[in-house]
Amino acid sequence: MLILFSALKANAPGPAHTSTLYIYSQALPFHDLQTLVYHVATFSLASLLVLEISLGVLLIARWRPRLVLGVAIGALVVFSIALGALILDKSAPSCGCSGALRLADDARTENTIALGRNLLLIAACVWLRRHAHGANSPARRQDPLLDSP
Amino acid sequence: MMDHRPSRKTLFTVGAIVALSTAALFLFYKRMSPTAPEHITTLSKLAATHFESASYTKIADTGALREALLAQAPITTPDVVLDNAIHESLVSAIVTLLDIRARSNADEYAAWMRQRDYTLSDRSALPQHRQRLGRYYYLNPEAPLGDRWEVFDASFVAELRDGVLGNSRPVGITKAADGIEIQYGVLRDSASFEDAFMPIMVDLIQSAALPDNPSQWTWTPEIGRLHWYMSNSYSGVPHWTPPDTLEKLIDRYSEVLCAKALIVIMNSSNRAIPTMFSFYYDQARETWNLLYMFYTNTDAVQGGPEF
Repeated sequence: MLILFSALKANAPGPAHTSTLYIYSQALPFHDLQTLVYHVATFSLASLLVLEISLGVLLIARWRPRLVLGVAIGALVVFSIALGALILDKSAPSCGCSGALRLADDARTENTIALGRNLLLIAACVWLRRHAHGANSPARRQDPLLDSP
Repeated sequence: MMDHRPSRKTLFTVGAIVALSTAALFLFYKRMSPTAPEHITTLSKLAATHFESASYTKIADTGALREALLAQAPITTPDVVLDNAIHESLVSAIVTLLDIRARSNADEYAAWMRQRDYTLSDRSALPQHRQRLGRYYYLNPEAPLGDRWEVFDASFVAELRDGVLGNSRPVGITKAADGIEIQYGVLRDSASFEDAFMPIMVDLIQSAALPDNPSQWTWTPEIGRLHWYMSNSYSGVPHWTPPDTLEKLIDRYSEVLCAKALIVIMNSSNRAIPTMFSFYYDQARETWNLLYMFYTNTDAVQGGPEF
């Protein structure tokens, strides 16, 4: 899912770039910093794509699942807070989480759907983390699948 | 002894992350900066090389600017008998317009507009034009639209400031012979401004014979005329409405004198910005009304003019 959403954003970065720019412009409302804000927003979005792909691949590969799931939960919580802020702001744009794919007609509903999806993912990650075994735990050493080279 | 070589699984995982990230970033940056068709980019590069190697007349010296426009601009008038005083008044309007834009002073621009009985255009149309509302609103796409003056002020000043979307503050006009042209046409029974220039367009298109492959193009007088039309262009949203619109004047007089000024302006980074100004003449007020402004065929800016 993380890889899919990263691909959707890479293919149509406009909406996600707009919302990133919006968040930074609200945080740094200085005209003289517009160039800096634009570049920081672009770089942040590019970094987000790499983060989503890395987490997705690491989860599929089951590399240190407890650690990766912990990072994924942290990232999803941060994104959920940002989505919450966008939902509270009536003039905020859509988060653009799914690129050009629109899940609702208005930005607020779309952001709410994205927040709901994030909460489900957080719940799934928490559940998986509870049942995942650390890289060095005895259970892991006994699991032939996790030990495969 | 422990084997510290990475396992095949680790190599596969790292390889997958690097490959997928590279593909995503390549796609992301490609989509963030779409490229124009080859003939457009070729024309843009040829125009930049040609005009940026020429010297220019400084806009700050308005006397020299006026002289340059009067002396240097070829006048194309297929079916117009032109009164020299009317031509000079057009040149004066262009000089004032460029001079105020060079100083990027929104108050001064507004004073010039109000002096000619222009009013700020209807605010209700703004939200639907939001994506074209200049750099301020491009960079702050969801910023609340303030009152009509705030929108104009923010857009005008942001456009003429050197920023991420380019630098369109003019400091000069080119001295290259094919960098300036003033065309006149008469509009009769039609509100489509371009109809006034159809004879010029037809002549230009009929005489055009370029190699099919843009990589074989070099700068020629023919390219010098064509590059104004075969190009990417950026148009802005007019902020001001003249006392009499083009449609009203056509209804009143049946025919209206129109003009296009094609001027390569130079910005403070010595980048060429071919700029097209469209005017129509109000004979009762003896003024030229600015209808459109376009930046064409340049990669020095990525947004339309605010006017």
